[in-house]
Amino acid sequence: MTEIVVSVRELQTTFHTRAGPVRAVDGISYDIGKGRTLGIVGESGCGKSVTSYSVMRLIEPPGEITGGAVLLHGEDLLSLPEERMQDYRGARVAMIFQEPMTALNPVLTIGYQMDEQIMRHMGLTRRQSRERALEMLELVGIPAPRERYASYPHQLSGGMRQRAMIAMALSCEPDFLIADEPTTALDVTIQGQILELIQRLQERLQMAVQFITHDLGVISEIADDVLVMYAGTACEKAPTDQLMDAPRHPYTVALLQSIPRIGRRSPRLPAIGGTVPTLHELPAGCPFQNRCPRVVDRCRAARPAMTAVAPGRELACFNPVDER
Amino acid sequence: MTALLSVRDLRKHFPVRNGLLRRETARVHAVDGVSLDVEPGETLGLVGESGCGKSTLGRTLVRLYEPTSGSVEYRGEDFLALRGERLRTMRRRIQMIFQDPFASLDPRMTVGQILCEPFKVHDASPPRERLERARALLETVGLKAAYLNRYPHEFSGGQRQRISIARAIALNPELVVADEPVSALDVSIQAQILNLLKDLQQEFRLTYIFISHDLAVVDHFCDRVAVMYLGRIIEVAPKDELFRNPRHPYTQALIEAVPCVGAGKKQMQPALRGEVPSPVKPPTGCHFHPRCPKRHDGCDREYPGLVEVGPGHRVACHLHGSGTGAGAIPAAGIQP
Repeated sequence: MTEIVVSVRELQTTFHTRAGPVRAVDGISYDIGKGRTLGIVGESGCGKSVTSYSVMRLIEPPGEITGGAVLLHGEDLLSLPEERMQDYRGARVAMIFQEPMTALNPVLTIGYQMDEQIMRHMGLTRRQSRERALEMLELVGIPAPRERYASYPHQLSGGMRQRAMIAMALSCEPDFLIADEPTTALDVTIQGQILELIQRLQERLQMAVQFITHDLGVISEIADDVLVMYAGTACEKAPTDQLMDAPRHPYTVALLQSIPRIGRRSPRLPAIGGTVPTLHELPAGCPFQNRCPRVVDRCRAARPAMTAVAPGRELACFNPVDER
Repeated sequence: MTALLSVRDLRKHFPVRNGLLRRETARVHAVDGVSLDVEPGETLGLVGESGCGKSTLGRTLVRLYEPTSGSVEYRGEDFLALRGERLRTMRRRIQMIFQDPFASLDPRMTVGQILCEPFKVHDASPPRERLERARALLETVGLKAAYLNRYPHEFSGGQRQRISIARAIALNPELVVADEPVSALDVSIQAQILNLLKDLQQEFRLTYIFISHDLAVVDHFCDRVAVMYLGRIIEVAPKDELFRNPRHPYTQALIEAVPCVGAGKKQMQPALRGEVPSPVKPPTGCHFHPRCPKRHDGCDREYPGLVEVGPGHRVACHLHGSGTGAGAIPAAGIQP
């Protein structure tokens, strides 16, 4: 077993809305080992991004983390004073986003922003940090790093901006990287380049990576393990190949069937009927019950908890698809 | 069989204006010499990465943009020459569905008003029948007739896309240009909408031009696929042929780059280096040559025209014998 870097326990995040509190994340637990990648998949509103923001403690009112723990090498990030957390953010835990301008300041040069972070977290002088920033820009494959160091974010193309953001996020060699849909806005050939880059840097730094995406193809190629989320809860967790080859939760099964794949022809796609319920109107019991083809009485009475069914494999379902 | 739509050497350039006098300083070659035929009843996929001109082409084909040059014939009639009443009549036959169901529906109109609009604009049915037809349309696309009095913001993305589709088919069009109609939707909803579009095609014998960046969706949905790169079609073929036997190095890279479900974790290997160059100053010769792993001497000088390499399979690449270039290819340039 590899060394556990991150351990999230029963994480719960609540948003206080006018219509009452809603649990955007409700009791999510997972571990990520050194050098390993956990993919988190799910459709819009399933809570995958809120999970990431909660782990980084970037939830702002009306949202609030209302329970659980986020252990980084055994230390609970959720109970740290905010100043300590600031020392950790960008240094020991880093995050990259779908839209690089979430992380980049448009009125400062790429170099200035990188220097600021490197000086603060690594205690280097400006000259040293510039050296380090240039090294990182080169490492992420930005041509002419010296020119780019002096560029503003808008002067870079989308793919290059993504690289610059990654260079910045990884400049202090974090133990844990959260990648929130980092390739969703990119063209498929550029996506391939960025995935290769993340993978290469992960190998080099032996980071634990939490990779959020809605794209099952991307997950398939980059993750060691996958956690499937639905309406704020976890429904299935398994090693990637097991999950893709033999999914057991009816939602995972339906999700995998509903995506078109090159070379696999069928006149109709087996769509999942209905839509994801809004968090306000979640039924008692299993949140997937109203769309589930395998629903049984018990599903309406109680919510199934994540239970270990095999090594590395957990499932939250009263009537799962049989093991193959 | 005569083509429903016949496009010849279509170009759409956008001026880039600068300075106080707004002088034209450059041109974006968004669509740069496209020729294609669309047969009645088929679904033609247009694929390519952002900036390849697929959306501009789609919009030019429905005359949301006036082309810079070239010709478009609809059932043998010069579509670009139509003016006034003739154009309005023709517009009923060609409709468009957009990617963003949040931007393409007027937030201040009820669904009923949105769906009555086409009948009003084209004076296609007496006022008192319009609401009835709107109700029928909603049911056709799988929504409750009771939704007529609601506003777009009350619906989810998938439902809104159904409303856009209902509007597009209101006047019984023959050709529907769908520009990334499922790209903004979650996968489970995407499947519902694709199925709906398939059903409508059968029911109303529609012809589709389906614009998408998602090759898996295109493979599922289309009969024929045209691949675009920087304003030009570089390969077109029946979909089975295109996905099994892509001939253009760009098409090959594009297909290879699609992440596959169940392929297993792998050492990522980018299919292509570099980025798409600016359409303001496209590279000389073959637009793809700066990124092409198989380029050779002539590629930067001469644009390879589309040539037939199999039944219905045409490719624009110097590797595949285009007139003058063919003999000049050094053997080393042709590597499997």
